[in-house]
Amino acid sequence: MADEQGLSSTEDRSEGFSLPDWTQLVARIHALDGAAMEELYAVLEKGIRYFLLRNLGPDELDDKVHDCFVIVAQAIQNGELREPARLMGYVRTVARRQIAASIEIAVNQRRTHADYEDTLFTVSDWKDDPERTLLARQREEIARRVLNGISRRDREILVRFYVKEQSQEKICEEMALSYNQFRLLKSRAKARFGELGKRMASNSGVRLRRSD
Amino acid sequence: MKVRGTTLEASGHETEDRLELYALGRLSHSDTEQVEEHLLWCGLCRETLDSAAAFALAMRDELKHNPAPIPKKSSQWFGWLTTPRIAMIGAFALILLALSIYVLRPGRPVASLAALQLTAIRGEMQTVRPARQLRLTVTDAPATGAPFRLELVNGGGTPIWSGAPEATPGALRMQVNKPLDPGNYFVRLYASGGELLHEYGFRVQD
Repeated sequence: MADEQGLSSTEDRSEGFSLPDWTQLVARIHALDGAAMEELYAVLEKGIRYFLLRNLGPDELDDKVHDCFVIVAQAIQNGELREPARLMGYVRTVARRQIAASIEIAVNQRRTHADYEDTLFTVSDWKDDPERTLLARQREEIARRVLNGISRRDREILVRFYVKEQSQEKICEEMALSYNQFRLLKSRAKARFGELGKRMASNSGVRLRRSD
Repeated sequence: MKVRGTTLEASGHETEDRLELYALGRLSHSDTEQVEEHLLWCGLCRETLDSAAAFALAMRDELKHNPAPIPKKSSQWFGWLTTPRIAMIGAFALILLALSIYVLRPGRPVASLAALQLTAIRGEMQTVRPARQLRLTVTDAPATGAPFRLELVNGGGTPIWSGAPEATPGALRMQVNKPLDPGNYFVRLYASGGELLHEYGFRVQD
């Protein structure tokens, strides 16, 4: 089964894989197969953690991941999944509900404990994380350097895409670009971005990519 | 495997383009669902998403703040030239400066012609302004001894000009057709036999 371990970071994206057989896994868990439960946990633990972290931040993350897993596992064991092949869809729904609930709790806490507002964690606090702010600034500085090294026309292409949110097709049509030219511009800028980022990170000892 | 047209790479992973659009929040609701379901179990695509998001969000933020290129520092030194009013003031100041330098420079322009009447009087030397040509007139030449010869030497005694002067009633004239450097000079008057009759001194001003 292509689980989290099977799709480790050492894997090349060009290498193919077969979609995990969720139906079989659900059937084994429903039959109270302990090994199947461990497989499910191995697959989902990092994914749910990543999903929750992006949306909520690090506060009580382990508890929230555990809650999500318990809900999914119990639903499977109770035979509540109508489409086992859509297991990930269900997991996502559970995680989304967890996110919504956490946000609601944070909002209520803010209302109830207005006097202690500064000491309470809220969803918005995550966005004000100093480390995240520093990383964002560093990335903007790198982006500035990348953009200063490209032509006005290339800059306009990127403005259209990233700021005006024009589609790739529209940009290519209006600026007489081929699809490959568009991709090449972006990939060059991205490569330069990565190169400068690594250099800056090695100089300052700061990570530019959050992997937790 | 559920195939979703061109949204998946041949390998089965999400494409970088789609992950970038997801990071930018520009995917449709259904596409967002598909991507998130894939991300739940695919560590490789999560890493790709991190990388794509870092690039895309930084680009978006920077381009939002600075949609036009920022002038380089080196060109900013001359950026004021692009402002017409300041450029005109600057040009005027430059012209004034050039004129000042021209007028005040050490070797300022010399007059085209200067004239000096020489007399053998002891005392302070006569002075003359620098000129391209210098006309000298000796008014107290003796009545005898003609034809005379005049010689011009500098302060160090080096001959500069020598020849027969133009004789006019009551005066001898000579003209030096080259500018003389500032300093002392002497005009010597010789009789036809080579006898030194007089020496007149003068000074070319600085």
